[in-house]
Amino acid sequence: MGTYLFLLNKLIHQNKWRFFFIICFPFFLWFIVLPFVTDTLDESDIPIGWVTKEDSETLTTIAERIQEHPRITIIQMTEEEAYRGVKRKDIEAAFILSDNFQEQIKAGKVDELITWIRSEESFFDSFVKEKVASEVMRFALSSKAANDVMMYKGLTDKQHWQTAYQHAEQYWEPEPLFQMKFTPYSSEEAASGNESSVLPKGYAALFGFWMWYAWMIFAVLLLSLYKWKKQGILARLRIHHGSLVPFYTRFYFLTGGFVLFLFLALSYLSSRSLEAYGYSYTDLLFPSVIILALILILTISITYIVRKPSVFLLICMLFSMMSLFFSFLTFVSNEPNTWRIIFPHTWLYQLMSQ
Amino acid sequence: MIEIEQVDYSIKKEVILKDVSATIQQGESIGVIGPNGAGKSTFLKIIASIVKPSSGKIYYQVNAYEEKIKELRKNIGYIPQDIALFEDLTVYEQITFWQKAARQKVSRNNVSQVVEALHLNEVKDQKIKALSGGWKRKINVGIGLLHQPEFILLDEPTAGVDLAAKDDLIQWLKLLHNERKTLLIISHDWDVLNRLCDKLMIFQQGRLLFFDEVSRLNEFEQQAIRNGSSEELRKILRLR
Repeated sequence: MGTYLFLLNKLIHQNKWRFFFIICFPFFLWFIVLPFVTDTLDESDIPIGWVTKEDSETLTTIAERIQEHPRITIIQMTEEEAYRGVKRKDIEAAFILSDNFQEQIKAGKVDELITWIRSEESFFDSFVKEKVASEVMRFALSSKAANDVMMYKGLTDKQHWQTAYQHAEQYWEPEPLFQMKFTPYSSEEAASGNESSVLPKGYAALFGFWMWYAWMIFAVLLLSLYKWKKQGILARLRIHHGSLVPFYTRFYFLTGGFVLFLFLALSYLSSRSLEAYGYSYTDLLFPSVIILALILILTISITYIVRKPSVFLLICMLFSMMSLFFSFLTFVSNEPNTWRIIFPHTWLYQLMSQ
Repeated sequence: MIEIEQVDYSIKKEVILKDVSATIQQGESIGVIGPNGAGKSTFLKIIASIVKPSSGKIYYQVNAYEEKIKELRKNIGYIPQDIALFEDLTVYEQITFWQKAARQKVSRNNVSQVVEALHLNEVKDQKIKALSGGWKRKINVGIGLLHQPEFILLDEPTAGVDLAAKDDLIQWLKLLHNERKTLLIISHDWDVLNRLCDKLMIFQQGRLLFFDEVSRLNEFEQQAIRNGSSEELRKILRLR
């Protein structure tokens, strides 16, 4: 295996341009893009519509705590204004908090208390959603703790309840994060029943681009097989080795492994960089790698069908670019996949939408 | 011993080899000549098991080829006409790669013998693509013989090689022949053929016209003139 690893290394280092494009370029690109992306994320203010149907202490505290984040601006509005604001993109998203919110929270009921309004363009609102969820869960669980204490002690007065509640509150520092069930709403989603827009489009595009890039690198590495065949190296290897099966197995394993590693590294880096902003897609990495592995098998099959290296490269380039473009188009437009299901990027985006 | 019985080979409707039969004994050194496109290289590829004949039978040590293919490949060294080397590796890396890629273990002693015989130490750190055609040809031959095969099939081993390098190659092949290795050499160079070969095979238009001792070549030439063989073949024979 070491012999073939050495050969792969030589292939990558064949010339300085090849080395740059295979190893340096994607990381270089990411490190160039990263500060720009994070600066943009840091500098952008997130206006959030806040619709309340009661004037309670709980709601005021939740709003204040969310407002503490330097990038979130809470704007009090009516339900009608919230829908209009999201539609016009004046606000990133809006949260409508149901009637008797405080009472329900104190009773420990958290499901379907909040309606989340967002548009296709909403990008940062998932982050705010998490923040709202954590604050509401904090209230709900502290209240539940106070209620349980009151029940076991047989107490009914407000003062004891407040003491128990404050005691429970001590356990919430530093701010914990909890998930809760939201009722999502956006006009298009309501019509189609599709929730695919939950994934930020920019990130999906980046993920898709890395997959395309890894695919192209693999195709370029496979071009060597054509050259070696023409030069008679493969014929010589067949005699020297007795068969070409061990050679092909090791070559595909190593080049495929290298490309998968490259994709994994880039995607992981991208995913981790966005984690600070409330997005985590590290759990998507493994299924994405499976999709890329299928792409690699497909690409290997093409080498057995197509005899000319230039035609092989052309087919790979055209197919991969169509895959990247059409799948992303389908993803952002929320259209049904239909025939575009033949493109591997569509599988990726379907996976990301789930 | 390799026996070839009525072997035909054609691609689509083009006949490359027609009804070729021959027996190659262990330790023989056979030159293969003929005009361009006569089927010489295809004949060598069939023996090397790179190409399957369209019809006919081949036996290796009395067994059918298909049955003994692995053993056969172990004992065959095929040196193609093209330079079948990884161009981006240095000479040293190239030798190491083929040494490790071989099916059977190639000892350091084998490698040293090849390196010394062909004076490869002079260029060991240079990349193949940076070397002259002569050096490439020498390395091409050396790599094919690293595993010390019993049957050595060489397709134009001295094409484009300078006189000194050619002499190195001939001396080394002679040495191998003296060790009872079987040599089958395609060449247009009578110097190589005269110095190395005991027997000759002459191909024309896919047919094996002559397979005998070099001493019987005059007889064949007269016969060829009488039978009106191609001008190209007669010219080749005149040049010897």
